Amino acid sequence: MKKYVYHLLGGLAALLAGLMFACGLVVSAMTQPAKVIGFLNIAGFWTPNRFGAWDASLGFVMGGQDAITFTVALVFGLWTAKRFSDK
Amino acid sequence: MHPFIQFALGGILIGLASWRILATLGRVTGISGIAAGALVSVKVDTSWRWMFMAGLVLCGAITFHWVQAPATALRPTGLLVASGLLVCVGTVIGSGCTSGHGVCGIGRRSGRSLLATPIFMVSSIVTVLLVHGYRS
Repeated sequence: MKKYVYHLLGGLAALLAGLMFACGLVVSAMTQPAKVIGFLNIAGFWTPNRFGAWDASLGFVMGGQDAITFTVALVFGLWTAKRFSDK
Repeated sequence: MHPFIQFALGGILIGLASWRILATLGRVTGISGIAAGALVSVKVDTSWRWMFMAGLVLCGAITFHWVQAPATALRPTGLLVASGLLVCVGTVIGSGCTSGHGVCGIGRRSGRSLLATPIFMVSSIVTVLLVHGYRS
């Protein structure tokens, strides 16, 4: 394969992945700073009156993400490690 | 649909996007690493980094205008720039961000990421606690 074709295809895939990543962020409401801060606000777990309620959303987002990446790493284990390690 | 199911679906979408980067380019989808590499590296392979960030910003801009703008009021620009720079410095020192360590790193069971993720989660929790405690 010609080098520029390789770069073109790689760039296209990266563009699509970027669009997809941002769509995931919007669907999971992680573009809302209030949601992220709400998850980090564990004080709200015990004293919601003072700190505002704790928001579990980010935990579910991370669960979904890691379920996918974990499965990918499990299925393509060796291949993944090899591709990841070459710089 | 229950909001939690929606959030998990969004997470799955993010995970699949990371998979796409892995399968086509063999790279970890760490936003901070991609951005840092695009700005610093002088090697040939910076083009896909710019393309990835273009897709990220494009989709964000589209949804900002037509789907859903952030519910919280925007902070002053100076504060946003300063905090963005702090995030840059922090993620470079920590050699990864939420996506790099938390999504890809944990998935591929990297020891460094399994250690880094709890550490930055705890430190951000403490930060939020301190700021909230100071305010109230």
